[in-house]
Amino acid sequence: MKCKDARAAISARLDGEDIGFDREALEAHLAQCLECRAEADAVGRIGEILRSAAAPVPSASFDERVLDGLSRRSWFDRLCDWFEVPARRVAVALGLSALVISCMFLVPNSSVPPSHVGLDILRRQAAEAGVDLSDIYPTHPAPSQRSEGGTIKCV
Amino acid sequence: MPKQPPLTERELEKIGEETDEQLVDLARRGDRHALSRLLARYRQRAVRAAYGMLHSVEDAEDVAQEAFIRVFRSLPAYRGRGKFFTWLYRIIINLCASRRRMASSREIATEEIELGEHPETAEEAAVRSVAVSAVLTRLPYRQRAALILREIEQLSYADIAEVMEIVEGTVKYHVSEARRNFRRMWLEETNHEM
Repeated sequence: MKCKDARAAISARLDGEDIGFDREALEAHLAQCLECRAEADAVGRIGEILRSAAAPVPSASFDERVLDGLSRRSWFDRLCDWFEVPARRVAVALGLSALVISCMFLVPNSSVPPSHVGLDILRRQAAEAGVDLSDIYPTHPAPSQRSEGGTIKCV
Repeated sequence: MPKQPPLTERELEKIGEETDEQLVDLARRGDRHALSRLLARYRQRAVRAAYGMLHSVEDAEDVAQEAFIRVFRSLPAYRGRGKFFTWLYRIIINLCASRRRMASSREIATEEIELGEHPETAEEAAVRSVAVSAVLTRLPYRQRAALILREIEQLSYADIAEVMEIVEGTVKYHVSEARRNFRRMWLEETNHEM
């Protein structure tokens, strides 16, 4: 028996597990190997040393924190839970469809791009301040030339 | 989750009566007291095992709590394969592994360790704890886990194999090597033979 095998067998014997070798072979090895015999004498103390070392006691709030943590779920987890019910999935799909269709009918059909509105305000402010913007913004119809519907009148 | 009243004495007595499987089954069906009973049964062991791996009370408690939360959240998917406590220990060992760099980078004052011949006083016991932490920190991670599960948690090789997801022969090797290394390192750290 090799020392490596003997060490594994000593350890397994201590734990009451299958040593994997004939016990007599182990005893014969221990009788002639000082190093392994010292090992066999010492390993029994390891558990004693480990168990005697101070172990922390869980805090009084341990259970409470676990149960609180259990109830604290991320918004994504909650959303997934909410969508577990098929009726809710159908309701959300119908709601979104209704919203899209409503938007298609309700949004006004304006021909004036939003940027022109800003430009008109800028022009008006420049005119009040006496600044000429024609070099920067060359030809554009004045706000007075536009109809209420946003289309341009021919003057 | 609604707050629940503390367990009555009778309920606490019942902790020892019900098997883990029964408690897990009750917990899966939404019994909050079953969760509390599982906590009462395993909280000390969970914190102790995590402490053995990390040597920090704060980290050990964090890891133990996180492990319980993960296990309880996964209860609906639990199909009873394997034991409850090996599942809990597996999560603890894995969570500790993810923190091990932080833990191993911690300085442990080992230079001043002096053990008396018969460490009996509280001070000497505290010094011994530091020495144990110092030696365990130096052990390779898998050997450390195997030694703690065997010597402190008193798990069988079959249960350790389930926790660490390795075969029993490898557990036997890890425990044996851990003991040999522990003995050598203990002598280096303390100048005392065991």
